[in-house]
Amino acid sequence: MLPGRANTCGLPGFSKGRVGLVRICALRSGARLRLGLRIPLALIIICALQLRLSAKTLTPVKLKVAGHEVSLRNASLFDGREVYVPLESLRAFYATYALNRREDAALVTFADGSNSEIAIARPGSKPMLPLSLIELHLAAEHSLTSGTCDIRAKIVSFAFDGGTLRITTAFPLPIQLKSPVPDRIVLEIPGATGTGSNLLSAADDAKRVNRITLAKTANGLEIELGLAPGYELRAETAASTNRSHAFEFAGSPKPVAVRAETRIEPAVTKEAESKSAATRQKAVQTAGSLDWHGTNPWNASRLLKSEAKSGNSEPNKAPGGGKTGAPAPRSEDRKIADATISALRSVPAQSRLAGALPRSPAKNDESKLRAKPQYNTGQATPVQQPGKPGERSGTVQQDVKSVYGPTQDEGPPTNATPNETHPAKPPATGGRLTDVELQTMDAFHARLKITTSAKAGVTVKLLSEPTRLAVDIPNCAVETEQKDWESEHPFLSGYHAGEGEKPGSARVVIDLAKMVGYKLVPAQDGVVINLTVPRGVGRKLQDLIVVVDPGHGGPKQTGCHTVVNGCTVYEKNITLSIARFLRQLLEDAGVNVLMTRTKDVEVGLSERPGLATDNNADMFVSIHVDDYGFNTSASGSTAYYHADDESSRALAHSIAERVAQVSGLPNRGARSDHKLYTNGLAVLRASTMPATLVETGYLSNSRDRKKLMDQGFQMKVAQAIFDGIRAYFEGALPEDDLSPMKEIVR
Amino acid sequence: MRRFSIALLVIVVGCIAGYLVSSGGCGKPDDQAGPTGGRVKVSRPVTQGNEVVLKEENVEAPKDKDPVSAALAALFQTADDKSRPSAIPAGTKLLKVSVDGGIATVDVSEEFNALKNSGDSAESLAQNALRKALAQFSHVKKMLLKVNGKTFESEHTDWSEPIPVRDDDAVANGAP
Repeated sequence: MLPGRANTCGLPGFSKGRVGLVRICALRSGARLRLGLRIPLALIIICALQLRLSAKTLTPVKLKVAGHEVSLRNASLFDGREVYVPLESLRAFYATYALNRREDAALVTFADGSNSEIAIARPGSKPMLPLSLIELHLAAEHSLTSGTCDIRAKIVSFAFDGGTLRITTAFPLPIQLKSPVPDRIVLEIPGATGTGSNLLSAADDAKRVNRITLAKTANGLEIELGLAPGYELRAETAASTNRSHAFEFAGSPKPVAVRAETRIEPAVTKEAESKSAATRQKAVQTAGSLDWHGTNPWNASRLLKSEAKSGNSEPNKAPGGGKTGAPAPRSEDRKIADATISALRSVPAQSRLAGALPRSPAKNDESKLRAKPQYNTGQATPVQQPGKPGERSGTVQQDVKSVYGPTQDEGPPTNATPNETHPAKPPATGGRLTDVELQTMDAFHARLKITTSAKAGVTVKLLSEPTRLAVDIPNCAVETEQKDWESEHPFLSGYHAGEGEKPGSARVVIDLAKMVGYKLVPAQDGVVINLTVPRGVGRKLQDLIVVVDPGHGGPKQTGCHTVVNGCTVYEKNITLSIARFLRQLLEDAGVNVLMTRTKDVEVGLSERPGLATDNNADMFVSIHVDDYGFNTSASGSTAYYHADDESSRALAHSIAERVAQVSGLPNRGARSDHKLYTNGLAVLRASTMPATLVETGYLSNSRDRKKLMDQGFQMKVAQAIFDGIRAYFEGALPEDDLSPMKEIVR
Repeated sequence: MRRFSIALLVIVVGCIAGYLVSSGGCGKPDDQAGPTGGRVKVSRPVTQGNEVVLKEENVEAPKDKDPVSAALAALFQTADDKSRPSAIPAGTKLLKVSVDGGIATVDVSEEFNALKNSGDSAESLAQNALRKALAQFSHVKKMLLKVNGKTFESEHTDWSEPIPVRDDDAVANGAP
């Protein structure tokens, strides 16, 4: 180009020209480029224009969550392939977010506490999140019709455990329980979606539900449960979280439950706004009568407390509300919480907190603190009676000395149980333990709610001398005004809060009077520990049927094997030998024993638990030997239980402790079979009674192998398994000199 | 006239190139997002105290395969590397991979059957290594493993149904 020459297209050296349909700049005659340069230049320009032309047009779409329209400042956009939702829409899923420094990604914390970093898209120059990425983490589905994107929650889990049916949805939904006829219950889950294949295969071990059907409705899903005679679903229990609803089974005679309501609606909606007044009115009217909606005594008691403190109705904060970058608590929650308080006012206080122990002296008067725990026996308004005053009190340091006995670190190194591996979650930093509250359900069930300022992964240990369950919370300061609580519960004599072993950690210790099964339910503000008497405890050995399952068998199913001095050692032979010893011990004690095989024959995987089910067995014990092949250092015994079944967990603990004690091998402890496989172990998954699979050692480890091949060792292991079984049924605690066990649950 | 022909040719070529780029015909579709740059993650067992855990490492993926096949091929290559332990039984070959409706069907050679007569720990490592390899691809939700076209008959767990490749999905499937 020649300097100083003007052009008409605004770029130096170029003038406007027209080639075909596209206007391009062409060199003026004085600054011609060669043809070879012009072609690629034109190609680039055309490609860019083509891309521009072919870009999808952005169209605004209405966003509905669980059937309710979400009011948003910025509309969601659809580009023909992807729906983009504004960041503020995360509150509809009870999720919060924090932007990174460059503001090109959002760290999203979902209702269950899980985190995910999602890249921010900017369609229409507005920061938004691709819906497909949210759904990837949220277990949700959307449908796009007529300019409306309706997002529905999948049922994340549907499980029977103990006396409870627990349903967890991808994000909070109100689950309504209807009882059209006595033996048939319908659960309405508006805003839910899914085929329910896992739901329909859910097994009710106690056979309280004999039929489950699922139907899609315009609003969501309806699950119909056929109940066995004499059973009913009682209501949601205190362990409910905002995503998880727990329904308790009750046998005959059917009790009357008086519950108040703390329902969390899925989103701020115009519809909900208009209905809020009606909701409030309805909540008041239903107080004192049966109410199946979203009962959550934890929230209810919290509301009562705040009400008592301030004299006014304090809003129940939405989960995650107030966090960095999080949307503010929603007005609908506040309204419903208000409605709840209104409802609670008309219910007698003892009904509202039936069975719950007081929380702390600062928050409850002394008489309440000394109250004897009441069991929920079906009466609408149980009467609290005075009990013994708490004897333990003092500083945290005193508690640490007096309460905490031998710890994991003090146990024999060979018996140290390693931590279970769990998906990494963000640790609680600078958290505070603010409350510990016991709720006694009945003589067989209790719940301990540990309230913390931030969600945290907790470590659970079973300690001995005396037997206690210790819950460790890392990076957490104890700020409860009371440190010790007494209880007259049959299996729980007291509980204490204090500093943990590690500096800056907190520990809650539960004094156990007998063996319990436990399950941890993470909550937004801490953790709930469900304690229960394992199934079958208290029964006489002579009345029991125990199925003993020697692993593998036959010429093909040899199990793991190795060659020692030219001879092949097969797992199937070791397991059969131990099983025979165990059968003898059990039969000598009067137990009815069924063996899945008594010789070297092949038995199908489903036939093994099938034998137990067909004979209404009380317990299933499978015996195996583990193997890593390439790794020769792994050593020790493990007892697996299925999923998070409390009874099977207690059985596995009982056996694992005793096997480790006699084997002299490392104690790998009791572990969920979901740590191994997504589907768990086949024989445990199909078992309907307390069941465990004991890996007695590693064939790939020379020390383990030498022991496993020794008949004396096999007898010892059989004796230890027998002792574990007997202790389970007798509800006996582990011996004092047993090593501590440890398990991490997040 | 000559100039006009050249310009017309340029426009036609440009349009075709533009269409291919914008429609994804030249590249990977958006809904099959996964590792880029020819590198994938494979999991290898490593010993930590008395435990064996899977540790992910980045390796170069075979470039003549689609991304999912390349990631699995890289994993199965570890089975032939005798210098370090692999979660996949030695000699196992990847025969075929197809992804349909979010389910990756992985067909492998019969050497995989060696896991039948191994311990739970070893079989667990193999399953989780496969899951981790497939979890790199957002469009893969579950995996179904076949050995020479047949269901893998484990003596420990059920492989007959598609298995979620991510823990979140596993939870949705009923796991705690």
